[in-house]
Parts: sequence; C-alpha cells; structure tokens
Amino acid sequence: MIRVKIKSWTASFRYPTFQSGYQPTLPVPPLSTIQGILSAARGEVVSFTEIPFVGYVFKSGGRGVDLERIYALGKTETDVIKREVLFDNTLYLYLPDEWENYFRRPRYQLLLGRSSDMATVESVEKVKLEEKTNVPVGGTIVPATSGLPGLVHALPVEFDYSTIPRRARMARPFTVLPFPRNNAQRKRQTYGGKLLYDSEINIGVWIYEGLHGKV
Amino acid sequence: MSGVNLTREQSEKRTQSGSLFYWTGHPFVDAGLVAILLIAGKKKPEDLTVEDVEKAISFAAELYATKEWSTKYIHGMIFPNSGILMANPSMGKKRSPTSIAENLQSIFEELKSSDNDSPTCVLCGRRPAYSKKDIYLSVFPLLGTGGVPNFFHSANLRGADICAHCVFLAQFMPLISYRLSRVLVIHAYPYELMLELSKEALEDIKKSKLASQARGFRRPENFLFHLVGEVTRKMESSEFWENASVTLYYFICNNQNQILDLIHIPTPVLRFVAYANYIDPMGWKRIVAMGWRVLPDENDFDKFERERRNVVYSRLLNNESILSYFYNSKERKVNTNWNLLAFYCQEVLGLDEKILEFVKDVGDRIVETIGMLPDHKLDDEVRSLERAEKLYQFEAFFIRIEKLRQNLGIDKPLMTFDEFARILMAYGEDVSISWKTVKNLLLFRIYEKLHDRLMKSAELDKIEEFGADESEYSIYGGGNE
Repeated sequence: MIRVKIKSWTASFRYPTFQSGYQPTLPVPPLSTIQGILSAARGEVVSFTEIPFVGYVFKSGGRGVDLERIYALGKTETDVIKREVLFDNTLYLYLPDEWENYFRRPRYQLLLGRSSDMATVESVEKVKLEEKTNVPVGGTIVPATSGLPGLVHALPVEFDYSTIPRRARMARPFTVLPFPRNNAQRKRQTYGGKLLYDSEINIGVWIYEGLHGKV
Repeated sequence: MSGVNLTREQSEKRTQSGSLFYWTGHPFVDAGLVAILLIAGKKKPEDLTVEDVEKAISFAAELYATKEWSTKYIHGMIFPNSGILMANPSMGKKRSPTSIAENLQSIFEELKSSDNDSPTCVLCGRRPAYSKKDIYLSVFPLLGTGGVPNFFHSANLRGADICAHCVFLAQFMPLISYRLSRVLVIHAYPYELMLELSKEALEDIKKSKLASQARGFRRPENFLFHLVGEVTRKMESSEFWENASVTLYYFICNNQNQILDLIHIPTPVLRFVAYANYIDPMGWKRIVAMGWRVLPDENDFDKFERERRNVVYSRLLNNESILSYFYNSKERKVNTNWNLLAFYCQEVLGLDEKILEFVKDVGDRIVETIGMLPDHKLDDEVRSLERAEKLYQFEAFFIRIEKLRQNLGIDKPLMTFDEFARILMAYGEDVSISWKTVKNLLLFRIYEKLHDRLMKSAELDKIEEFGADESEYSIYGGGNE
C-alpha cells in the first residue's frame, strides 16, 4: 500500500444541491472528488471498479467565506455569490502500490475542488498499516450505517464521464467526519470494528474495497 | 484488510421489500418523508401504503392552495415560482387543492418509471432522473436557476439530475419545517430522532392551518437547544442522544435571495446539553443566562431565549470553551455542580478523567490553604487568581499559596515540581490555552467551596470602598493589564 500526501492552499467541496446564492463546502471531500483526483493523476477517467481499495484522510487548517463573481453563460450581466473555502489542506490517499508512478508524475493538474484549488504532491511513501479495533476515524466519509455520529448527507460516489453532461453512477447517504481536533472528538468518532491505523497521523483509515460493481 | 464493500450493501438494500420510499440522507428529501410518515402516524418508510401517500397529498394540497401558504411561504421562502405547487403568483386564478394534488399525483406516478436512458439521481442513486420538468430551484430549493446554466455540470440545461422520488418528497418538506425569519429544517440521524424533532411543526399546522412559528423563537440554535432539553426531560434519559447527528438547515430561497446557514451540532455538545438538562436543568439555565449581555431575571429568561443570540450556544457550536460560564465571577458563585462541569470537560473539551481529578485535588488544597486566612486576606488571594491575565501571574499565585502553607504550618507542600508542570499542561501542550482552562477549573472549585465566605468579604468591600469600580482596584495592587 502507498500513502500519497497532497497539499493545497484552498479547497472547496460542494454539496450536491446547495448552489445558488451561497455555496457551503463539505468539511472533507466526497468519494467523487477522489475519483477526479485519481483520474487527473492517471490521465484518464478512472472508475473505482478498477481499484481494489482506496482510503483517504483529509485535514484543513480552517475555513472562510469568499465573495465570487459569477459570469452566467451567454449573458453579459454578472452576479456575486458567497463561497465557503477551506484553507491549508492536506489529503492523504491510501492506494495500491501500482498507483505510485501516477502520483510521482501526475498527467494533469491535481485539484481539491475546483480549478482554482490547485494541489501538489508532497510525498509518496510505501506504508504498512496495522489493523486495530476501537480507533478514531476522521477526515473522511463513512456509510451512514456505520453508527458513527457526524453530518449525514446524500453524496455521489462516482460519475460516469462517457456522456455530457456526466451522470452519477451511484449516490448514498454518508456520514461526514471531520478530522478530530481534540480527545473528546476522537472518543466520539471511535469505531468499534477493525480498521487500518495510521500511527504517523494517529487516525484510523476507512478503506473502501471493491467500491461498486454492476450498479 | 478491513473495509466496506458498498456493492454488497447496495444489493442488500435493493432486495429489501419494494417499499415506496426510502431515506436518502438529503435533508429536504428526508424531511418530506418525515412529513408523510407523521401524517400517516407511522415510523418506517416500508410501512407506508399508497393510501398513506394519497392522504398526505390531499393534506398538503389543501394547505398549499391557500394564500398564506402559497404566496408568502412556498413562493416567498422555499419554491419560488413553483409550477408543481402552483405558487407562482401568475397561477393565482387556476390554483386549487385539486390541481395541486393532480400535479403531486403525476410525479408520484413517475416513481414507477424505469427509463434506463435517463441519468441516475444524484441524491439517492437508485432511480432515473425525473425528465418531465427541468429541475431548478422552483422544484428543489437552493439549486441554481435556469438563467445561469453554469450552476450545473457541463451547463446542463435540464438542471440537476434528481429523480421523481426525491422531487416528490421534497414538495412535502414545508410541512415539517419551522418558519422563523427563514425556513428551518432539522435533519437528524437516526431518523427516529428526526421524527421526534419535527412533529411539533406538523402538530402546529393541524391546529392553526399555518406553518409552525417554532413558538416564536427567532434563532434556530436557541430553538434546537430548547427542544433537546424538552425531549431529554420527557424521555427522562440523556442516552437518547448517544451517537445522534443533528444538522440545522436554515435557509431562504426566493427570486431575490438564496441564503443558507448550515449549522451542524457536534455530537459531544448534543450529549452535554442533554445531560445538563437531565441532571441539573436549573444549573444549565443559569449557565445559558450568562450568555446574554444582560442577565435576565426569572420572568425574562423565556423571552431572551426566544429572541436573542446567546454566546454560550454560539461558543458550543464553534467548538469554543464555555468553562468561564460555569461560574458567576461577579457574585463569586457557581452556576452548577462539579459533576456537570466534569461531564462537560470530559465530553466536550476531551479532558482526561485523571487530569480532572488532579486539578480538583489541587483546587481542594488551595481551598484548604486560603480557607485558614481571615476574610480580607482570603479575598485578596482569590482576587489575585481572578485577575491573572498572564501566565507569570498565574504561576506567581501558586508560589504565594505555597508560601502561605509554610507560614500557616501546613504539612504537605501544595504541589511537587512534576505536579506544577502537569497543572500548567493539563489541557494539552499549548500552555497558552491550557493554563486558562485550569484557572477556570480552580476558580470554579474555590467558589463552590468558599462561596459564603467570599460573599461576606465582598459585602464588606462594598461598604469600605463606597462603590469603587473595577479599574480602581489596580491602584490597590490588583494589577489589571
């Protein structure tokens, strides 16, 4: 398994339906954003069906609201919307070894959100994570059925880019778990089952295996 | 390797009995489902029948056809220019319960559609997108408008890919939303909790035929925390909130404005507020009362709670400490007991139980020392801790207490060297945050134990100082910086 460390100044992960007037950001990226990052690194659209497993942990230093000018397609007038932005971000991706080369030399620019949220690969390392029980989980999303408390929301898992516009292949209710900032949050976000544990960043990693087949 | 196989979960979900509706995780869709369940008097989507749906349609259509709902609420705050609910002002003459019910019925019929050429719903991922209508904010709140296609991926002129199931349910969301100055939808998980927190909205509608005003509350977080207290006291247990997820969506969506406040209530905070309401409701009330600029008297509390922003609530929602609200430094008394403080420290601040016991023990040693002093000296020592605004002043306090112990002939030292380091770092390694937390805990303990004596000396001071104000204390060596 490799761990890819990606850094960015800004990031924004839009909710599926909150678009107009104010665009809040999810505290961590949904799986569809991870699909986008993997596709950019490899240089072609990637489906999770091709990847035996994937996991991720996201941390951000803070958040703020930015004013943005919107240019409507085919119109001269502009509008201003408020967009929430995450700052000083780190994303750890846990992937099979064969992904190392793609992240050593990504084919396209990596983004944590939109085209202005540019990201860089800081390191790619081989890691061996130990399996543990009762470890805190955070900086990721987990299925709502996991029993962990957090922000529950419907999120797309993967998009099919063979058509324009793209189409959702799958969407599910997930629990969004920000990276825990103190012991109380760690305690609340402790998962009773078995999980891989990254001792360097002190967090359990929720791994998705064989994300979906014939949907 | 550990992990989750969503394929297996997905197929298990699909083999469940073919229920009409299901939870999606989207607040507006789930809210619509809650409304239909509450109207039917049921708790699970799989128990709903076609008759239940028809009952909900006629219930909603009857209301939505009235001017109060249509123009002011549906069009003005949730679904601007809605054709489905006929809220567009230009439809005033055609609007009737029958025509609205027909519109809703026609979307419900679409649930049977299996158009495999359509894209999959971006919210539930289970059904084809509804294609009889472009999906903009008039159909689903807070989406973009048709006038700005670049709100949608690839500038999709059809709007968002949302299926008939999710569009249909969203139309019922107004029935369990609360109407404050904006619209409040309480999204909660597990869903039994959402039913509990939303039922008042529907009960109010049944009474008055108008959208629930949330008992006159003007701030969504105040209303939610009030509800948490009520539900906890009713259940006679705070365990109801164990692993609960609650998020408030406080929005307005009309032709002029689309505003959204998304307020997630951290679970440790939920559990603490519930526990506080369960074991010491009066103490919790005193803590909350300190969150307003002016301390309300007994009769004004409810009014303040309904109308005014409260700093205690805001700090809880922003993951900021409320330790200093556990005591009233002016009156030198505690607002609650050590048990509730300990629960807050462990549950919300994440303080270790052993550390907390250690701080409490140090507090007791300080009380043992200064308790031997005459009233005016006791007052001086407590005041020096109250006024410690810098780390060196805080450290100096302990040194003075140690000297006092020696002068008073008390056997053991106040602390060992290691304990001194431990007390400064008790709340994490960031000493600049940690020592202030410890200071609040120590003050709480001192006030709890010595309140009567401190009040007596405060009374004496008042007589002696002829109303000297705070700033004058520095002249007498209080050292305000």
